[in-house]
Amino acid sequence: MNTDNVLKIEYDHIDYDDLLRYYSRIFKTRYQNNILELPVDYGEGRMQLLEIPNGLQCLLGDYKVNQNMVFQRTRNEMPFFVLRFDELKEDDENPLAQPRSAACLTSSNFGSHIIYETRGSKIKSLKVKIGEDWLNEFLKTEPAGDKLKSHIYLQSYVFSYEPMDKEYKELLNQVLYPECDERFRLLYLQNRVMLLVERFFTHFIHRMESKPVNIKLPNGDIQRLKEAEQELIRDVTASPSISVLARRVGMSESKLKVCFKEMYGLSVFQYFQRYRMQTAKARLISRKYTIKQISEELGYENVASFSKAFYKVFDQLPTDVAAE
Amino acid sequence: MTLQYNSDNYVDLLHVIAGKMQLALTDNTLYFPDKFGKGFMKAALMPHNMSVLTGDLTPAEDIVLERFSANATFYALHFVEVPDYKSFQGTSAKDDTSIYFDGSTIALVNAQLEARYVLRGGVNVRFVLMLFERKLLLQYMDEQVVDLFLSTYFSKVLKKGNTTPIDADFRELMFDLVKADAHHPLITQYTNTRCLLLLERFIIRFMHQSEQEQQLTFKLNADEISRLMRVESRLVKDYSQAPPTIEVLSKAAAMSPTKLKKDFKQLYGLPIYEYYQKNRMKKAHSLLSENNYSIKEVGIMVGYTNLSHFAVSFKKEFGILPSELSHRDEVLPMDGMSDMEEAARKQIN
Repeated sequence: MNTDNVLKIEYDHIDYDDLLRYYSRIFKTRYQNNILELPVDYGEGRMQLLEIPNGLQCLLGDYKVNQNMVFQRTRNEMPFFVLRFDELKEDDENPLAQPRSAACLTSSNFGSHIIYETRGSKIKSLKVKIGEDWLNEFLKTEPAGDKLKSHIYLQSYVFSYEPMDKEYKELLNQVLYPECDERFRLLYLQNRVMLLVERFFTHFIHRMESKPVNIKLPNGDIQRLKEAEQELIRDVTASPSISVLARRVGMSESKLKVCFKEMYGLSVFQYFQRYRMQTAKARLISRKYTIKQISEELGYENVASFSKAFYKVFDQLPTDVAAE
Repeated sequence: MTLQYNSDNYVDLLHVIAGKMQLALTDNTLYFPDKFGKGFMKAALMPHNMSVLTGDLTPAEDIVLERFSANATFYALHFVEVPDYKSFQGTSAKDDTSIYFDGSTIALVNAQLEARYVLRGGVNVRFVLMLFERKLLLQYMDEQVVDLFLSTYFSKVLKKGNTTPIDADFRELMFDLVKADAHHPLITQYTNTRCLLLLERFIIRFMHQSEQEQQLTFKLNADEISRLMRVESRLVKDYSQAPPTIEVLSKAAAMSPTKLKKDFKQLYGLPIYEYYQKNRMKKAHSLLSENNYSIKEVGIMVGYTNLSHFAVSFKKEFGILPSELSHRDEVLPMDGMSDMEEAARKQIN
């Protein structure tokens, strides 16, 4: 990766309209009718504000990056969530380049967020800002509302992240390029955004209840993978090796690796490590244990390596969480 | 059985019906015991004073609902489908002041006016009824657009009756709503978005149709439309069988093949077999998305014995193979998950 010439943009704006005004000063370009056209030095394409009638504010992005950029959200006291849908093609010129994508729920008061955009990549994105009040109202009458809320506040990343499939991408495309008469566009856009939001949270709940989502695996394999998952997190101090795990559930190592990732969205060890650090975080938040106790309980030899592992997952040190 | 009501939401109405039958509601759902017929009706309240009544029902005898005029400016949007159109062919006499739920129709009505609805005994109907205020429309559209839509709609209905047919897109959304699992974790959201999608599709379809018709020299009348709807429902009834021939369809519609082809295209926007094929592929798409069937099973369900033919047709419609539908991208790392970001961080520090 080029080390030269990176434009670093720090921001702490809550309102996307303010944020786009701020960007327009940085990019020295006009922001009007909710659209910011990127000047060619920085990129080709647009960023756009979308406010839908049900109270959600969205930020759309559809551009090719001409200048390496880092976007960093600095911490903000006001808590809110951002549900983001991103699709990225690293080399737009190369037809063989595989797109990478994610649907992901992040939170403003949870570490800082860094997004790195490299020259030559093509980006399509939708960010939906979800305030606490809106979320409460949204989940008020839903059967799974309370359970979902408690998981959202726990910041369980295993649940709040998934790569996108065709259906997500199709909906994202419809939001970016609405095929609809201008007069009815708001209703059209709200419906598509809400289908995305609904789909994400429905999958979130399925992951929470460890029902596989949209997985084309035979039932027997799904059962074995669930067993593997249980076995994997049985002991938070150390994970079994892939070969032990594979033997225990009766699958080949390579099949286990591939299928596990398909079902849970993370590799076996990423999954284990996330689970382990979430356990740590829940302990920290409970304020019943010291960092040292937690690090020992999780099988770390010293606090330093625990802290490092924690930082890697949450972008935040255990001491920061404890201090909150 | 005759019921009178003037509630401004369907949950209250359902309580009135249940009270009259001396039955209890479970989860705002009324299951009909044999005595009253078979099937169910369920009601739900949505945000912004919208309410929804859905059902799949064959009442034992006529159910008459008499509505008094409401106070606020409410509108009701009715999607009604009789899956087996033959069942209502021997119907008894109708009177002009009632609206009969015995044929397939989409209708918008002004709920401030009194009305009398009749659900026919022995006729299976599937329906989605939405009740909402004018305010709801104003959230999404300029006042002029709302007024244009409403005035165009009501003047057209006066002259010609309802002319927007239930097509496969509407049917799919109706099906989602009628069959919605009460235990869906986000059931309110699920219902609300699908209702608004029905509304969106209805308004867009209607406006498009009426603005296009102004340029056309010939127009379809209500009787022709109802015959074409019969053709459509016969066409898409069972994809596992070969589709009926134009000859069979034209007999069913009592139209010449030439007229049938021309009129069908005008009403549904596509030639007969393109319409059939498109919806057959959509059906396959939604079956595959349910994740309960293999590609082979779905292929057979929509009438393909040769799987590679199925794959080719599917790709023609959606640009991807059936096997690619559940494909997920490579993981795009987020928040500390990534090496890329690690690198970025080092670079900054």
